[in-house]
Amino acid sequence: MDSSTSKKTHPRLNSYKYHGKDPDERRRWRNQNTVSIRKIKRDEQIQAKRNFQADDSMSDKSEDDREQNRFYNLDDLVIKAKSEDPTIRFDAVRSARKLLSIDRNPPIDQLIQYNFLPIFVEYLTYDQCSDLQFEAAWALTNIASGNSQQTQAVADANALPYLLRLLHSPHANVCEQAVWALGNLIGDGPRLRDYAIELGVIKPLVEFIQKDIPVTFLRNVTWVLVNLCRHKEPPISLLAVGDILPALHYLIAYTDITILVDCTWALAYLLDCGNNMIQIIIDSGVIPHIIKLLNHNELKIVTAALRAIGNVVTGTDEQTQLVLNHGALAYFPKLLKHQKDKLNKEAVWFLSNITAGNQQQVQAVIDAQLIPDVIRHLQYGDFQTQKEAAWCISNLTMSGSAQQIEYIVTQYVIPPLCNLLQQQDAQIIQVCLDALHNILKQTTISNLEALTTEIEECGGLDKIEHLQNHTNKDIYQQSYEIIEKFFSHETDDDSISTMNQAPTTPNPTNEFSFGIMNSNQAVPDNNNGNNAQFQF
Amino acid sequence: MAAQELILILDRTVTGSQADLENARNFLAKAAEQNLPELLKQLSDILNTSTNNPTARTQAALQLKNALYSRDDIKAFQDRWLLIPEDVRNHVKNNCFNSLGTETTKPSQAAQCVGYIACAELPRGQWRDLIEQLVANVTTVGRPDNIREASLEALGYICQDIDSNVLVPQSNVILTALVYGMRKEETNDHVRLAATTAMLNSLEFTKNNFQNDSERHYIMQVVCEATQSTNLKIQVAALQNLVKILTLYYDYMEYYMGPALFAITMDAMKSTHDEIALQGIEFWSNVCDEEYELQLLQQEAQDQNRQPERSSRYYARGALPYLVPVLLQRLTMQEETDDDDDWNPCKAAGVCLMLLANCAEDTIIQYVFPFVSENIKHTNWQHREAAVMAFGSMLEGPDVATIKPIAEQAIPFLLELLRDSNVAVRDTTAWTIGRIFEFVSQAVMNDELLRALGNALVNRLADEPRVATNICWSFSSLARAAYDHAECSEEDDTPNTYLLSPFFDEIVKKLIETTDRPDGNQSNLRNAAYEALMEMIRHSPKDCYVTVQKTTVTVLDRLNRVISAESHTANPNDRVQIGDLQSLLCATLQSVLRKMHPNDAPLISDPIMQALLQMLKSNSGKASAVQEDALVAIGTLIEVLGLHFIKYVEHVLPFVYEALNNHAEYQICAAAVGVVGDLSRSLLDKLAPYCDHIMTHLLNCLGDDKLHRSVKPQILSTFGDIALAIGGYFKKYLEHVLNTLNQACRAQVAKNDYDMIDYLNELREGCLSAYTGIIQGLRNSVAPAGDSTLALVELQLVTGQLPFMVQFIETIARDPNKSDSIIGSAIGLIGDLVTSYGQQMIEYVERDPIDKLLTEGKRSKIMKTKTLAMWATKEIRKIKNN
Repeated sequence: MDSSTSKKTHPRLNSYKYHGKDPDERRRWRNQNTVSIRKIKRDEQIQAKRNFQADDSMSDKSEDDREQNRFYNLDDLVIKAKSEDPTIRFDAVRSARKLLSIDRNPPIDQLIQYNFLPIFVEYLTYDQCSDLQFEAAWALTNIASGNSQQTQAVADANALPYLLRLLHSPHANVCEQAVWALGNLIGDGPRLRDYAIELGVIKPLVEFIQKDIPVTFLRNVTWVLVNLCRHKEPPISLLAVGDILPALHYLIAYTDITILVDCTWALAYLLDCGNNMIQIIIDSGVIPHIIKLLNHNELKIVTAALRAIGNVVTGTDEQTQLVLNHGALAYFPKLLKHQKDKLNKEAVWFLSNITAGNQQQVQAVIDAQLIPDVIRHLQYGDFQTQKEAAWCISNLTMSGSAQQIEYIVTQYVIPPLCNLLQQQDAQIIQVCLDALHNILKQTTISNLEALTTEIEECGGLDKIEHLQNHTNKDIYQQSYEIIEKFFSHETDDDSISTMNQAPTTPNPTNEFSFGIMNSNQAVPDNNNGNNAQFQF
Repeated sequence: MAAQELILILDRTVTGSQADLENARNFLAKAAEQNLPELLKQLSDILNTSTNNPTARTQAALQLKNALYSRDDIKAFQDRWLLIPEDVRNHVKNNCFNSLGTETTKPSQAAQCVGYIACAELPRGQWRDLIEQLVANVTTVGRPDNIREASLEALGYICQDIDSNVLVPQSNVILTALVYGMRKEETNDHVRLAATTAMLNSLEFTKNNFQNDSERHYIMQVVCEATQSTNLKIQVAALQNLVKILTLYYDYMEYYMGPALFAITMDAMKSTHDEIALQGIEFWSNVCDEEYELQLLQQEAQDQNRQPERSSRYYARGALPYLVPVLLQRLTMQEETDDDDDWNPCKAAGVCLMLLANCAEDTIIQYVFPFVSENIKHTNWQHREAAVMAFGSMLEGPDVATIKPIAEQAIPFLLELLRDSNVAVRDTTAWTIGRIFEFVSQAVMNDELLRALGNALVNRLADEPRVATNICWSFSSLARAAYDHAECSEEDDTPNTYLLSPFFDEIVKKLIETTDRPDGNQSNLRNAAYEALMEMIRHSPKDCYVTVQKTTVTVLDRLNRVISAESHTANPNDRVQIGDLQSLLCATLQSVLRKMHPNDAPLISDPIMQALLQMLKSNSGKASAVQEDALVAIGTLIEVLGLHFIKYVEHVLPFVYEALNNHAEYQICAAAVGVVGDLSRSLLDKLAPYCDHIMTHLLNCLGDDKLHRSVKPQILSTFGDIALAIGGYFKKYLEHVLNTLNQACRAQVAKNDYDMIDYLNELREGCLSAYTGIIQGLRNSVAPAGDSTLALVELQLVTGQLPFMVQFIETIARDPNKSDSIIGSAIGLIGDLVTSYGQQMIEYVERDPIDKLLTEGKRSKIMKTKTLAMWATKEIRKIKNN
């Protein structure tokens, strides 16, 4: 009973500098290390003796092929599938499902022709045979993963209400499979989406999220949510969004990458559906969470988050201001310097919508020191990024104050702008011409000479002169006007006519060219549904 | 034996004369041997006779204690006591109890004797009224303070040493006494201190009382009041109580944190008494430990989409603005010679700051960084050192992206401080640079910075040992960081080059020089230098191979020198040093061997083998770690040489057998078991001729109950290694081995003993490895050309075991405590059984537990387990479809 503990053995001393690394401890560590190296070697040796294939899909395919080669007589199979004998019909349904799980060209149309769909749908109601329900749902999932016609055929067979019912099945695998099938149906387009919503698909989905379900299942549920939000012609109803939003708000706090990516895309799609939708989402308070994701180290998430907030700033000035108030611009130095061109492009697109705003917003971009990066992209970026940068500058020259315009001139915006005048793309030429014209108009008399000299010296004047011969009417008119007003010394400054308006709406060519996801997914046979692997 | 004689003998133990002492010892040993009960009786009489002189009484109690308790074998001593006739025991017990408070020396020896006897008797339901009697001694008005104090001490000893479950039913009475003695109304400080100390020991079993609000309030009140005592010892003991309560009952602390605990511990941290300050800091370090743990649990729960069972109240984060300034202040109160093993408030503050950074993450920076900037160029070295210490402490915790620019900014200052005039500053600076390498290496991964840092560090390797040691550890971290940063081609896991390549040779050269420094014993320098050398070698890219080769020669050369020095060194101190050196050289040898090209290894293996065998020879028959190290190094050589090792096998085996027989030094035995596994993997069926001997030794090991249990699972796995290596030759051991496995598979352990649960997992994994090796070995046993039926015949030898094996796998499948890796092994065996036995396995694998196990495997986070589960499922499907 030694009551006094010696100071020397204070356990925390091991945490102080390298006191914990005493020779005995290190020796134990080394020997432990030897033991684990041995275990690895043993495992390697054992593994080598197993008929393992490095490429797992290879062995799977050969098995599928064998299955297919066995050649199913569909006449026979459809009769067996309708059999009263539970074993026979189950085996037949499973065989049909296996046929549908083949990687290459599964015989979807043949099975539809042989009228398997009503059989599968009927078996969805067999609550006493969850295995049969599961196989039927799986088969329907795979048919719905086909082209739009095939998906529609599943819907026409009235599968939706029965699949929906299965969301309440006590069997997790049946539930999950139903979710998957519904995802494929909903992902097909607005019509099936709205039908599913009308049937009440949202409530059980949202309830799953609140339950303690495995993360793989949660991923599936999130994937269905993104499919619900995906289509904008027409968008999902505001009412339904109100039901989905709390779920998305909840999911965005997750750390699982797949879930986060889907959840953020769902928001991005919704935010692309007009100012009313934007306002609803803003009111839900989720925007700051999206903005924080701009700093995530997973590219897919940053991409989705950037698209989402990019869509917000296509809204009203107040909506745009909200994004700025949450410090979004602070993430942009990093985004503008990102090595992925597409991310740069999206980032500049975002900024182009800010510079189309009011002068306070333009100033925010300037204060965040982002203009030099935009100009760098204007000069060196890939073409899509250059184009966005041109819009960004052009918008700024429209809405900015004289002082703000003077600032971008000091950042050497003129040479790259002029440089782009030699592009083949009429639109970018027009945007750059607008920008130059606006800059010229806003420049004070005292600075004007320096500016025209700069345009002349970087070869801009030659290019503008050249554009007077352009086939596009707007281009040759505007270039003529510029030359007339600023470069022919006889003319008077007062006779400036009205100018073309630079568009302040987001540029229409900005398509979703990345982050494209398949809205339809087949279930490969080597997964048993509980263990789904998504491949985006 | 007359009592007087005994008293005389006891008196003489303190004369200081060696002869007297020896004499007394012999006398007592003889008396104990002849009639222990009688001796104990007499000793207790002497203790309980207050007219005897104090020395004799104290010595009698000491002797009594020694007869009741031995640190090495508590249970044997307790059993021996319990075998003594009850009347004698009662006599002794009464004497001890009645002596409480009658002694004139402190601490009370009688209290300790009561404590030890209680520890033997209470768990077995004896001496039932003791606790109540002790409690009565404390709480009865009018009892002399001496008795109260000694009784509290006895209670404290009992609480400290006894299995806390035993005391749970009596926690109410015990607490009554302790709280009574601790009250601020208690006028006697000795009593109050004894009560406070005993309280500290009682906290583990008073869980029920802590769950009750009013009882907890009262305990907390008394403890908090005791921290305000004017008596230093009581203050410290009371604070120790708070530290422990925080950890044990964190969830209940909210009520007390704001009104009391925060202020009490803050004051303590600022105290001029180190003992008090240490407890104050320890309190907050414990808060950090607890909250960091809770944050992890929260994260885990979130990942699994469920609510955490407990959650952090974030006291540490909340207290940052108050805590950090105090800790920083403490950092500046260091002394230049603080590099020893003393624990003081300054070091405690540094550690607490590190823990805070882990808890608070990015938030810590704003509180620490201003201090760093203000003090890093301070004229007073203590401030400079504190600044660097503070900076180094906050590097782990914040997000790397946040801390990286700050680290970059700091490097020029650190480079300068590495040449500071003060050694403590240089010491901490070197440590901090190592922390940057370890946690923020992204900040230094460019040519220019690495050149500057590398040069500076290499130059300062010549500094005082304490500085050089830190530099060595920082090189270890740097090697790992640079290697992780290097790019590897896809099919190869060794990079061609990395950022350290240009300096690699120079660093290695300087490290080797450092290992040889005459002052290498100080500050653990030699170890650190060898470790750095090993890490550099382990993490070397292809373009540094020449240096690896050179190092091999150097290491071999040194090993030979040390071996010859060993033979003519008699001084035990020097021999210890030589042993340590051999251990380090063996380890370094392993690191170079693992890097060696397969063609080069045979060229140098002769002298290496010679040296290692020499080490084994000269340490043969001794209990020495050198044998273990040499065997481990030989294992690596076997692995690197493969079949080439065959020429050494006859030379090595005698030493392997000797080690396998060394059951007392189980680490040596375990090392030899490892070597057998390595031999199997490298020599394959060439090992068959030696297996009779090997198997005999291994089976002997398993049969010995005295052999440390940790070796046994390894032996079972090694059966698998051997079976896999020699295939059909294993037949003749099959019966024995299968019997042994049968027994091992049936092992059971207590469900609440975590060590034993781990052990059971290991044991089972050993069994699974053995079965797997046997099945695979038999299946692949060399069949005469074209005759594949032979293998099937061999497999039939195990058919009888199939039901048992499947049952065993089912047992594992149902075990909620199974480890992740055992799931993989079990599934692997299922797959092997199915591929080996085909159709006849269907009836076994279609059972629910097996199905569940496969599902669990497919959901595993471990890729290997997942792939195995997919594979096994597919194999099962194959046999079903056929």
